[in-house]
Amino acid sequence: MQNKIIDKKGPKGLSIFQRLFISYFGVGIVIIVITGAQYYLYKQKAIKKELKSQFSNALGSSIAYFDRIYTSRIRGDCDFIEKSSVFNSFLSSQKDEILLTKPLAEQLFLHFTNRAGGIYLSARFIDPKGIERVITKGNKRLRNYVSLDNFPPTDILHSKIYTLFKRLKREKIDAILFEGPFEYGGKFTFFIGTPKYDPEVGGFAGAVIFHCDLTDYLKHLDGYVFYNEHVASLFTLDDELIFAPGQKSLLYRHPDSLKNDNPLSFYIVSDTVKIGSNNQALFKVVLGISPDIFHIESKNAFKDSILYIFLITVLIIILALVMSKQFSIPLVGLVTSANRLAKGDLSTRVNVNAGGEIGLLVDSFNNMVEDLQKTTTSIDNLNKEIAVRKKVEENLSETLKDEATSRKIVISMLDDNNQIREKLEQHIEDLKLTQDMLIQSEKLASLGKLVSSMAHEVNNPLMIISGNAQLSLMEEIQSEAVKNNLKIIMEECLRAKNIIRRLLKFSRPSKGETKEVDINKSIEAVLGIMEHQFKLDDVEIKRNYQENLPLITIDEQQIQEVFMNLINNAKDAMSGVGAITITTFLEGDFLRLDFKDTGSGMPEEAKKRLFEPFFTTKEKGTGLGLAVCYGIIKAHNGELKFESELKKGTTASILLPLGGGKA
Amino acid sequence: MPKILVVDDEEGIRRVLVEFLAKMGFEIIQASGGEEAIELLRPGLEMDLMVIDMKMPKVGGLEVLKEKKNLNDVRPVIILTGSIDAEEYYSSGLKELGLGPGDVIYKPVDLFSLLDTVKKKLHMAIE
Repeated sequence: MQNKIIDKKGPKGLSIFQRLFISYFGVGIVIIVITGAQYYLYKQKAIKKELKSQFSNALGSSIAYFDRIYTSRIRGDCDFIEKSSVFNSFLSSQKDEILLTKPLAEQLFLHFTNRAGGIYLSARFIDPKGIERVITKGNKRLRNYVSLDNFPPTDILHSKIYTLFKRLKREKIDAILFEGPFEYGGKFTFFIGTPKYDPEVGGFAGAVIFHCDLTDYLKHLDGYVFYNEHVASLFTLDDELIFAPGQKSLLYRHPDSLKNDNPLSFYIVSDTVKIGSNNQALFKVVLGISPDIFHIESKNAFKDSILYIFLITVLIIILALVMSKQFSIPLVGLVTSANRLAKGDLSTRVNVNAGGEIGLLVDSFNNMVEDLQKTTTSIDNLNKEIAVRKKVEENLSETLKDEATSRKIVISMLDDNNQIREKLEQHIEDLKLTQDMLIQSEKLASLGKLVSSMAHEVNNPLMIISGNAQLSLMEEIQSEAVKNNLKIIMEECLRAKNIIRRLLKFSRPSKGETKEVDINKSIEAVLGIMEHQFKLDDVEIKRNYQENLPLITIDEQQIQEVFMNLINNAKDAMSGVGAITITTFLEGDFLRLDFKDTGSGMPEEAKKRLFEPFFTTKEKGTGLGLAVCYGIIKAHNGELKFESELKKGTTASILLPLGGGKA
Repeated sequence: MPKILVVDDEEGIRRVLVEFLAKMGFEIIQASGGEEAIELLRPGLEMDLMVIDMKMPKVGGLEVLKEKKNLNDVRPVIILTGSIDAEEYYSSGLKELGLGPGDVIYKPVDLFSLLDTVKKKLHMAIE
């Protein structure tokens, strides 16, 4: 009841409840949007802050680490080239530096190759005599180096080394080589190498290589994927970029400018750290972070915000529902009661606890109804009295009415009774008929089973009987009388075979195939077989076909058997003289075929037992013909019926459904 | 004269067939059931035509015909049966063995029409 009232539309098509809900919900959504956005902004700021602080921490330890780089003497162990095992032990010892020296050289090229299994250092130089030499690791030559002039320019690292060395040579200062960071031996490292120039010799004397372990540094940045990202960039003291790992082009820019507009697209998170040997600063290292990392964190923050917004939305929907309901229930109660009141139910009261103005409204409504009820009760009492008086008056005039009128009524009632009785009898008759048909079909079914099992067993004795009769006929010693008797035995055996065949057919569900046929042609085919005999017997066949009948899907062979049966019956009914009229026409959704004879007609007894197996009026009949016909027509969802008048004749009618009867 | 193998479990029927066909001048071998027929066929019995019943205890006519086919025996056959009728031919399994409706004769039969079929199968002149 309440729900129905809630559904009642207001002037603009919305209920009170719906309006309240929408306004509460709207306010809620505005709040969500504002708080959601603020939450997101807050989260972003927090991420930036957190990242910066993490980097600052990392910086503290990294500065300490970079400060460990040694000052080393240029002159010292000059055996490196000859004893390359020194270099091997350097790589495996994880020392911070190694001094590469060699006999005087005009040019020196160093290269670190990061291969599976470790990092390999190779170098090429040209000694003062102009002979090119290659530093090898052990006995194995690592790489064939090309000359300076066609140094591979495509490889960024190579071209960088090339440029750097040329420049440093021109300025007569130490050369620098930088590579990394990369993973080596489970540690994250980068290398810095500086070839040494010896004024005494007037050329390069060797190189100092710094092997920096970044593992500790990176530990501070735990949780971020740095190994493929920009971490450190190297600058000259003149603030020119030497190398930014991962950067595909060499950009010479001032670090300060990086801080402002991020041309390298990473966030500078450290101050410049100067590192160098011999207490002399050689380069500056700047630490930074790729914006990609920030984007990942940003995305996470966005996901969090969406979840937050979703939860708040659910909360707001629940709140809006509860609040709207609380407000609308008393109003709905009022509407319900008002409706009842309008229909005259004065006992109605609004039974809702509500405070404030709505509570007052409910109370005054209840009071109003109470007063109304009191007033109405007294009016009702008056009305009742008036009604009683009127009734008495009417009764009086009623009794005074004409007696003839009453009689008429009685007669008409009797007529009605007769009609009802007739209908009832008709119904009972119909019921009886249906019951008979039911019994009939049950009988047919059980009989069918019996016949099919029995029929098989009868044929063998028949064969023996007829066979022996035939063999006896072949003997020459018999009299004509015996021969005649033997012939009769044979004929009767064949008749028995025929009965069994028909019984089998009758008892077995048809396996025949259906096809579309022109029913007139179908009848003609049957007549083609029978008509010759009919002419001899003086029976005339009259055709009354409707032309262009629609094709009908039937088991033609079976239906033709029905035709044959009905025509034969018609002929038999006329004792061989008369006319059979075959009429075909459309009747609604059915195709109707009438076989009308001018025979003797059927007695009542025959009409009732028409379809019963073994019931026959013929001398030589089996009593199976019409039972078979009935089964066939039923299987086609059709109807087989008879109309008969004694001494005038019988009409057998077949009705076949046009919409494809047989399944 | 051609040899005919008659297979039927009913002695009465066998007797009628044997007496009639012998009178018509054929040489007759009898089998009183499917098993006996198979026993005769396996070692390669000398005969020109087999007349066989369908419904027999233990080993039926269909089994004998299957075995005959397995033996690659293509000699003609007449199925003389009271256990099926013409409409049941298609569900009898005979079609699958390559036997047509013309190979089946239904009991009880006019002995002379049986004789016509026998002669037709043996490509003999019909009087």
